[in-house]
Order: sequence, then structure tokens, then C-alpha cells
Amino acid sequence: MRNFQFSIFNFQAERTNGFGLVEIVVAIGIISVSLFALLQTEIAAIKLLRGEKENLEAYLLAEESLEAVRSMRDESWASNIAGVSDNTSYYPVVENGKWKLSAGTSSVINGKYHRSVVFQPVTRNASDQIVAGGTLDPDTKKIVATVAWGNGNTKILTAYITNFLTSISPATEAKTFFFENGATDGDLSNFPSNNSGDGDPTQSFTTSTATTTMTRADLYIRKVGTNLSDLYLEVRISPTGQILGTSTVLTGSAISTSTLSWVSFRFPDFVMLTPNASYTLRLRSSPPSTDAWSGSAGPIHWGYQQTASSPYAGGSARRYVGRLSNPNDSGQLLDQYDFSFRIFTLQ
Amino acid sequence: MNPLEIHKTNERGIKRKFTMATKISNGVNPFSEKNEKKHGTTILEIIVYTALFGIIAIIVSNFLIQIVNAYNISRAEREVLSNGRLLLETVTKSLSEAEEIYTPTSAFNRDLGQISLVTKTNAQPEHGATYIDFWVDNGRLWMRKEGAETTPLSASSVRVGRFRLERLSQGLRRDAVRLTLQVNFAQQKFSSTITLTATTALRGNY
Repeated sequence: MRNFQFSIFNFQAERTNGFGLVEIVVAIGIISVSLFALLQTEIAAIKLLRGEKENLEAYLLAEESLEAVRSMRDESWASNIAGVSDNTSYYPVVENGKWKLSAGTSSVINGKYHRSVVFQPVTRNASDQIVAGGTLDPDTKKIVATVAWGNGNTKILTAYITNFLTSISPATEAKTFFFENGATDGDLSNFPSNNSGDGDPTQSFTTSTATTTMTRADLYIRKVGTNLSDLYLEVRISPTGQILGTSTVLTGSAISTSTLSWVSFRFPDFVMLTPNASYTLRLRSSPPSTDAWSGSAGPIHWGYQQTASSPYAGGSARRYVGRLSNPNDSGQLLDQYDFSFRIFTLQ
Repeated sequence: MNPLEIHKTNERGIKRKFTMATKISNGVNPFSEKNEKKHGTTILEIIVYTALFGIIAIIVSNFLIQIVNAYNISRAEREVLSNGRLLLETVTKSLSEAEEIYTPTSAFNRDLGQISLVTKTNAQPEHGATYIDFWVDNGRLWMRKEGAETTPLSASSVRVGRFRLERLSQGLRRDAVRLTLQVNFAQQKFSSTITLTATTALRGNY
């Protein structure tokens, strides 16, 4: 039955070799085309997945812009939202442990994204619905968060925020114990020159006759170096004594550099302070810094004042507290100096 | 009679007409009915055939390798994307529902941080609140709800490279957590990575 033999050599023997090759070429062609199609499908899938990945990253950045604006609204409508210009680009940035708005469009985030937020005025009609061309509602803003990347890709999210928190009277805090005269930064000559080594700066303070609940402490500091450890503040009974409270950690790179400013260290777990007692604020770093952070030297400058008799009667400043080589070192007493601080308590 | 038609009688005596077309369809050269000089495969034919076969084999196997590679890359992208999305959504959802952060067992400002939350979601009525912990161990993100088993949230095919939590305190009672999550594909050869950032305020359930 040679009629049904398909071996190529057999055909060659019959001098029909061209026929076998054509068959193979066609078969290979079909296989190649289908494999190529399969490959293209996979490549398209990869492209789609990468696009989706970018989309998700961009969406989250835009969502974060909205969340940042909402956080600022929660903090204070009057000081954070009411003052912004409409139809102007801003971008949210974390500074000193909280969100704030900077003008313009952000620098590159995550390697490729730029983001911005624009506030728009909101107008309402007689039945309080948001319409174009109604009466201006100063207590409502439309926020448009934009994230742009690559070749003209954008992700735009829109939300409305209202000043509804004014109708609720939340718990308040107030500045209770403070020393604010230590405004010196450039006054290098007045600070003790031997400012090398490691350890933390501290400032002690004395409470009044009432029991108070401490919610936050502000320090008058600025960052000098660019590569800074993260900062947090401790409340202790003495420079190396028992820790009563630990503040949230502030990212070192997000501390303001330009001038001395009041930086808030919040104590989410409030600290109970007994009357007429002395407490110590100890500025710590994570990971522990090898530099002493105080006065006019080191990567952190803490505003201070110097007088022959200690300028703040309720406490004193120290440095080199808890050196890396000796965690129990109570440091050097700077009896003529005091660092600026503000203690806020619950009202 | 058509010269191309040959009549043969089969064993049952039925005459069948064989045409040239029939012969071709049967794989028989109609012009080589007899005493045509048959020759074997020449060396040249073998060489050409082998070369052709080799080229085709290379092309096809190359295609196959590319397909497998492309499949692996797309799998890496898919795993990273779906894991990243799931992890971020789980953590941010728990954060936004939480009443407060339990500070003693939370680690902020670290690349592999951990967080404990006090939440009213799914709390036992007699307690009123329950704890949820998230942390990274050995490249996987783990979750533990109070009284429940420790569960891994991320698949074993990916590694959590960063789980950095930054605590932002916007006001007296407005705690927020900024989460930076980086998920990498576990196999070095098909690297894929996603970095997601989200800020979530702890709003309880409002």
C-alpha cells in the first residue's frame, strides 16, 4: 500500500521530494504564526499589566493628595484651607510630621510621577445644590488632584470638602508651660565651643499647681545637614530617668531647613503631669545619632538663650545625655542656657 | 479512448478507470509508470534538508523560549500587582476603621515596620474593641486578629521589600499613617516591583 506512505524519503525515491518540503513548510508556517500570536498575546498582557501597575500607583498618589487636604481640613479650615488661592496649583508635602501645601507641582515622586492639587470655588443654588453660576459657598471647596507621568498620562480625582467641623466643638489644647526666648541660631560664639561627641540634648521644665495632661510639645529647631536621623521626643522624670511618654517619630528629611521653626512632637498617648514637679524633654534620634544635637552645632539646631543667670527659672538645658558609650550618662549641664520649648496641655 | 485512461481489472473482475488525477492523488508519478531510473537521496539534499530543518527548529524553539519568558514576566507582573493591591487595601481599610494605634507594639519609620490597631470592627460585644497586628517577617506580610490564627497576607511568590509606616499627627485627635509598601517578585530572574504609597487617617467608622 505505498499509496498511503507519507515519508519524505519515500517521496524522494518516487521523485516527488518537492511535495514533502511544501507540506513541512506549510506546517511550520502555521505553527510559527500561532506561536507568534501567542507571543504577541503575552507581550500585550505584560504591557497591560505594567500600565495597570502605573495606574494603581498614580491613583494612590492622587488619593493621597485628597487625603492630605482632608487632613489639613480636619486640623483647621481657617488656617489651612481658607487662605489658599483658587485655581492655583499646590502639592501636598509632609513637613515636620504633618501635611502642608506648597505652591506649584511636585518634583518627581517614585521615579516618574508629578502631582498637584487645585482648589476651585463652589457655588450653590437656592436649594443648596452645587451648580455652576450660583451663590458662592465659602465653606465648600472642590479639590482636583492630578497625577501626571510619562507621555501625557494623567490621573485626575475630584472631591468636595466642607467646613463641617466648625459645628462640632472638639477638645482643645493650649500652650501651658513654655520658654520662647531662645531664638538664637547664628550666635555661634555664645554656645560652649566643645560641641563634639554624641548624646541627646535635654531641657527640663516645671509644672504649675494643677494636674495637667500633656498632648504635645513644640521645639524651636531646624535641620542643618541633609541626611538626618529621624527624631522623637521623650518626657522623662530626669534626663536618664523613667520614660513617661514618647512622641511620634518625625522623619528627619521632612524637618524644615531654612530657619528655626516650631516643630510639633505629638504624644498620641497623653502624658499625665503631676503638679509642681520637674520633667525633662529629651530629643532623641532613631537610629541614634553620632553627633550631639544642640544649640548651634550638630545636624539639629535648637534655639537657645544664654544669660549669666539661667534665663528660664523652671529648668535647665543639658547635652551629651546618654552617650552611645554610656547610656546612663546624664550629660553636661549648661546652667547658663535654656532651649526654647512649648508644652501643650488638654483643656 | 482517452490515452490518459488506463483500464484495469481488479480481483473481483470489476473494471476501474484509473486517471492521471487518481494517480496523483495516490502519490504516484503518472509519468513513471515503469522502468524510470530511481535514484537515492543525494548528500546535497540531505545537507539542504538538515540546514532547513535546523533553521526552522531554531526559529520555533526560540519562539517557544520567548513565550515561556513572556509568560513568566507577565506572571511576575500579575503577582506583584495583585499582591500589592490586596496588601495595601487590607492594611488601609483596617487603618481607616481603627479607633487608635496601639503604640507599644508598633514600629514606625522603619523599612520593615509593624503596626497594632485597636478597632471596633468584628469586636466581641463583651470587649468592645479588638486588636489587629500587621508585620513583615521573612519577606511576607502577616496579619493577626486577636484570638485568631496568624495569617500570611502576601503570597509566597512575592516578597515584601518595604512596609514603612510613618505616623502623621495633623491635629489633637487626627492620627494618620502614611504607608509605603514595596512588593517584589521572589524570583530574581523575572524581577518586577511595585511601590505603593497611601496615607490613611484613623477615622473609626465615620
